[in-house]
Amino acid sequence: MIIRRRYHPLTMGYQLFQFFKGMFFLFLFFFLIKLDSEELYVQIGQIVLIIWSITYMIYIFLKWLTWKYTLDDEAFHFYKGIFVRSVQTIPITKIQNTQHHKTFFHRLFGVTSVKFDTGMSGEDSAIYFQIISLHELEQMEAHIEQVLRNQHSIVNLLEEIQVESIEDSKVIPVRKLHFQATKKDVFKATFTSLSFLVMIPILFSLYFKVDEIFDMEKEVGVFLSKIFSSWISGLLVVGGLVIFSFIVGLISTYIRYGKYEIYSDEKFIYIQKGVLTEMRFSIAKERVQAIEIRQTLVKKWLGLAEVRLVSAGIQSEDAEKLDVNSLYPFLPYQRAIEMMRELLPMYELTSNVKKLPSIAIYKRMIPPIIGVLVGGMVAVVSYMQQWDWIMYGAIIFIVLCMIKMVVEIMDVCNTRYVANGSFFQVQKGVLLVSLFLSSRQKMIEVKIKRSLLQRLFHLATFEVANRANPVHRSSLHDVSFDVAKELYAWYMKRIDEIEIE
Amino acid sequence: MDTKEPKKRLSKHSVKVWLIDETLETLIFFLIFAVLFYLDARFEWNVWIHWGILLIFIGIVLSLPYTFIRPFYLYKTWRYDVSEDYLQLKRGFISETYEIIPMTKIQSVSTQQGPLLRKYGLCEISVETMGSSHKIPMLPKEEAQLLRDEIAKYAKIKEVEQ
Repeated sequence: MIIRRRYHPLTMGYQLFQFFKGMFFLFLFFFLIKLDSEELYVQIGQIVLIIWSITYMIYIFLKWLTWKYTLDDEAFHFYKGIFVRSVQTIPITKIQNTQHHKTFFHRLFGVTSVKFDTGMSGEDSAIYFQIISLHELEQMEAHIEQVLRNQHSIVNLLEEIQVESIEDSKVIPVRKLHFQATKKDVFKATFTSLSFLVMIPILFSLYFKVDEIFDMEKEVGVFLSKIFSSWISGLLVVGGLVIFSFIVGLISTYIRYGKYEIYSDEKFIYIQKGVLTEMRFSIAKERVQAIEIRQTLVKKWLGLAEVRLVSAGIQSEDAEKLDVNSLYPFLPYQRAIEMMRELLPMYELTSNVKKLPSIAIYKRMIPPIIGVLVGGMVAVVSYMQQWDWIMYGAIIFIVLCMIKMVVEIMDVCNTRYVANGSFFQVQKGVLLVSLFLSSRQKMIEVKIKRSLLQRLFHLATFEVANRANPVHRSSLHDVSFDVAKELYAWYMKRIDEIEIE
Repeated sequence: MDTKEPKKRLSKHSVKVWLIDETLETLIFFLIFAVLFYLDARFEWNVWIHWGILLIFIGIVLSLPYTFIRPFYLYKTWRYDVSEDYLQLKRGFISETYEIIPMTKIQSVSTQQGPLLRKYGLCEISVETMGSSHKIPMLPKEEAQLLRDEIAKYAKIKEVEQ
């Protein structure tokens, strides 16, 4: 029988650290600022805080004592609960991707945290270790990779038979470095991400946090009026702030994107990044559900792009906040495409693409034109009645409708799509250009939608869904209905390609 | 696609059941608003609240014709079909939706029945995939159970997870 293991003892320390970090301002308030206060609420607060802390410490200790886990050839087993016991089993084959997250705390003690995302719904669907020793993690990952590598498709089985003898001798697969961020890259990233503006929210949140405790407003007012009483000192302060915030932006960008490295071997992709907080993301190539290449307006001007790997495991909030599934977000466009080909050679990106029918432009013009007409009428009536405010509102509305028209025309002209072999590719957007690429094997469903307006113009919206958390939907608007039906039929042919277990 | 377009329809009772359902809901709405109007008159609520309630009420009354026409065209346009490989759904009159779900991606299927549906021997089928869910409303009970079992049978086959 495999021994049930306890979590790393430092887990307790980490949880305690997290606890006090979260309660920091409460402690500051009750035990430093108001320490000598005789007020009743302060005294009650102090007592509650102490009892709460002690209870939490006991809880953490009991949790460490009772919660255990094992890992065998098929699954993780988690034994949970202090009083009510439960066992959770998560098969290794459900693991979609791996995330390491090494904060300052982890580095201090030479440990790390790891999360194996499974893409299953519900709470606790991810396998998460807040603290794990590097040695144990190494063993664990080697074991998991072994299981994942051995699982599989007929093609792989054939391959395995051929390389079996080599497999036995356990060669470490060769990792190839695809990208490493240079100083130039960090500099570019600082400008592109506008992270030199990062000081503004930080200053604000600091101000409000401090303001909660001290009454700042008055003092700040006096301070500001003193500075701006003379132009030169005002200018100096503003200039200093700009330079300071740029430096802070550079540092924060460096901390985030500084040590960016992308590796891959035959079956896995590894993305490593971060200076203070180290993060590593790894995913088996065949678990990549789709690829998205994104360009904001600024990135487009600078010729940069971001490649995102859609994984069934990642929570969308993690994806947005930590960019976990992003290959470097500031890659030169050509390099991004090249790298995508290197990492995922099975994905076929083609430049042989189709455009939307020009009738789509007329269809898109109808709502803003109605808007302009209605707005115009309102403007004329309010002009005659001298309702100034309503007239201004109507004029602004008309201008917005016109901007909308331009954006719609650009969007129709920019949209490109094609069903190429088993791959579907859509590029669209004006302010944020995105290129989506996935194969029909990976799409979990497709949909054709036709609004009343689309029906009048014989157009339709084609939408595909991919596994992600929540489902990743990608749509192609205002393609002709016949084409949408062709795409639908194209999707149905997926049965010829899939392998049945 | 035309040859494969889904053909099966919902139960003939569905219009009736939807209409009863809508009527009940409308009655409850009227009741709530009657109480609100009474309270408004009795306690002389703020003008804004008064107009707010009135506007919402007018909105609901104006949407009533739509509410009562909807069941007819829902029944008229709803189509579904099951094959060994796919579940297909089609619905909508003003705006139209076609959906296709591979059987291998379906994770669970179940039938449900509320009190009103039970009275008319109807059932609702819900199908869960890896992240989305779909419903086929208003099927005769036997048909729904057969369909559920059929989907379950086809969905048992799984693709190699990629």
